[in-house]
Amino acid sequence: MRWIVYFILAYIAIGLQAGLAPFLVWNGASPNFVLLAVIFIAINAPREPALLGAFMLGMLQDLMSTQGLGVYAFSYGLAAMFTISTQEVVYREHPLTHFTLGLVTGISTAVVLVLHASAPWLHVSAPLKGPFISAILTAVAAPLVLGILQKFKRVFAFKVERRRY
Amino acid sequence: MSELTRMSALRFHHVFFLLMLLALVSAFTLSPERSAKLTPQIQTLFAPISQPASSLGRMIHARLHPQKNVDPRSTQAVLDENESLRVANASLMAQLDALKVLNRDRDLLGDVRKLSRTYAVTGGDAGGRLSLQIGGSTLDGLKTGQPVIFLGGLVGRITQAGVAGAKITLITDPSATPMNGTFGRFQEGEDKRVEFVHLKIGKSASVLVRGAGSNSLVVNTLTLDDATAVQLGDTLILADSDWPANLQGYKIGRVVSKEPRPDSPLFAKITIQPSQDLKMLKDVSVVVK
Repeated sequence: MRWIVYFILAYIAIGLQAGLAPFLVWNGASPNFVLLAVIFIAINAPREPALLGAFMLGMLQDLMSTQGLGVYAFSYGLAAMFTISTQEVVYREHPLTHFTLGLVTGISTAVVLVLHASAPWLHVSAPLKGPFISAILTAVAAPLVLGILQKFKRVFAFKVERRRY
Repeated sequence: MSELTRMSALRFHHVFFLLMLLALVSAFTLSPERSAKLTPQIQTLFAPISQPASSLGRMIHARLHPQKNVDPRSTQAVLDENESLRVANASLMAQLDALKVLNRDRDLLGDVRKLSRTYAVTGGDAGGRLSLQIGGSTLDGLKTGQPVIFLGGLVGRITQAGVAGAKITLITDPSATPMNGTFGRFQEGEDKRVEFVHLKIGKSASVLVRGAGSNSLVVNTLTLDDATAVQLGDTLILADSDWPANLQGYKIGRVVSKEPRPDSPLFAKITIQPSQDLKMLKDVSVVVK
């Protein structure tokens, strides 16, 4: 994977999430562009770069939000682990794949966010339904955004992992 | 070759597992305030993307959802009130200047806008919380805890400040520290001058107000009897000793709804809304002195 292209994608995704997402609000939640970038990386890249790339995207999002450090990094690590495990069994270009991955990883991220918000010792209070609505919005946006990103996947030079253990 | 590859893969898995464990421990043991102290502020680095995206989003939002005027008064009434307030303000400023001469220790009192510095908003919160990012930094003198205002009232406080940006937690964020305020109303006095009258509610004049998300705050500690004095359109102003003296009396918002609390019908739920959607603000002023 070309890391410079990855960083450009991360830069744009985080910038859009901070700049545009607050205006795309529906029922108090907005789509998560960074999670879509995580899915794109995890569905195409080899295992190790994909896991590392997803974790770093989460860490950057943590730095750009007022959530505690590590919430998104951990969530996206889990999301990438799930997405990578489906690499061999899904059709990567199909919109239904994008929708399903957006929904499942969105829900897993929502569960972590809700657990974080519910921890009484952290004194974080946030509406509990917001992350789940965000998961639905992310899933709806996934076919469009991932469809566009898939057109540019050659630029990332993802290589299929061919290792013999 | 395959052995080396397998070794490196195993090593990577150990490193990744360790990173995930660290992230989990950090997320569930450090409060957002504490982790904010440990993390660098990098908002400004993303401004080339987030600021134009923000402007675009603001423009689209303004087209699709034009802001409703929640003020029930006519334009003429507002103009009359403004004129009256200008006169009252000039008189008070003159008195204040005289008082400042008498008491040098209180020379920070006065028009709070003169004590503040304006910054462009470079983006919102990347994690769905109610916060704003601004281009200022600790190099400009920004510090954690500094209050932030706009022309229409309070915005919030700086909760994270670094060399490459700062974050403001909005007063409407449910995790923002609750504050005390008092209700008031503009009324025409006997001398036909419009004046701001503080409402006496129950035993104490001040009420606890907390962020409720969706650009609103809520007061839910008043009984229905006490809340009868509050009407739609009344103004809530700051009366909290945790905030600077020059911000006392600063506008928080207006009452937009009053109803019994669903979970406790003997108490009222009074919803307050700032005069603008705080997430949509283009620029804000940080009270730096």
